[in-house]
Amino acid sequence: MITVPIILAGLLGAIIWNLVTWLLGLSSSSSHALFGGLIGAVIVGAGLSSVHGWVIVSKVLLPAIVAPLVAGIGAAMGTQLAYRITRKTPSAQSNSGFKYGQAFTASMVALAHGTSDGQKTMGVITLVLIAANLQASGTRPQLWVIITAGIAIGLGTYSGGWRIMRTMGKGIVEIETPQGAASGASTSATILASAHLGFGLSTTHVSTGSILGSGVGREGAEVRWSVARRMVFAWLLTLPGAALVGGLAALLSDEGVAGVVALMILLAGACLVIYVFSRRNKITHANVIDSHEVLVLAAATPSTYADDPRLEAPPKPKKIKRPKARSAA
Amino acid sequence: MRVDWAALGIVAVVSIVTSVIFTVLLATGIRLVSVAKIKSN
Repeated sequence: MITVPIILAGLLGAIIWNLVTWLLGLSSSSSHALFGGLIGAVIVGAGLSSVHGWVIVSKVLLPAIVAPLVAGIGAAMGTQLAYRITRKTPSAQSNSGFKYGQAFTASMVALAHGTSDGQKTMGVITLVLIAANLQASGTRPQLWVIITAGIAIGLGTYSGGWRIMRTMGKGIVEIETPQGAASGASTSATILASAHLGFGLSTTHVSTGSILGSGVGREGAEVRWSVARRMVFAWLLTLPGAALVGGLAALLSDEGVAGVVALMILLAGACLVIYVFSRRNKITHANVIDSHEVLVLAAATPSTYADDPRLEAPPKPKKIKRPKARSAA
Repeated sequence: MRVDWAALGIVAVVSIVTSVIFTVLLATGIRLVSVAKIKSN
């Protein structure tokens, strides 16, 4: 039996995993964090038999491997053709044209994100409402759920997206406008086609595959495979990592109201700590393209600021005036 | 339960073909506009 505390524990696993990877600037999949958190919480709270292993393999794990490859191939071919077709076009005109194309495909990715990840968010809220007997089983998400999920995803991207943008736009490969347009087209096509056939794809995995593909497709582009490897490592850890946090949270939520309250306090504490760490190396629109790395600093000291131009300079320490020592007459 | 390979194949083909067609049309459009501008000047 799936109860509200089990879902809460699963969400806690997903939220903490997402925030930690966000702090590190790793574009780990929030969808897989959600799946992992819920799987871990359900195993602990309702038993292993409550998890449909084959559905996870066929609808989540297999598409997670195939989709980035497909998106990468599409983006690589598109990028190569785009450069070949416009090689005699003046670069200013070419860039201007592809900029509009990139804006269009980015909007399509946002739409695709809504058809895939937005549904998962709405699905979880609806699951809670059904588990709490506030909504009949088998009914569609309510309007306020749809609006709330949309606003939350939009606000999250607006407020914290810069760290991931740095990794995606600068970390893996330096993206030019034709690459941006081609990778956006490939990402949106893959997600829209998959969502239509019911695969639980991660927008993150597909976007990363497309960006890597666009780097391979452009002659002379430097693809930072070390960043890509680090990212794939985070992907592999996401499902078990979030499941572990979700499982531990489910143990606590089993303790009744006190457990649930403790869980909420833990979540608030973890969010606060991660927020404080993120403030030590703020990434905004002003410095997002200054570097390809996302640093996480344990402590920001004046020497750190002096060494790293990406950080905001702290106010200069005030000089303390000391009274002059009078010489003994 | 078995893996739906046909659906995966459809996703792969549709995604690659659609994205390549879109990018080629966009690039061709940019090229044609550029040629037209050069001719008009």
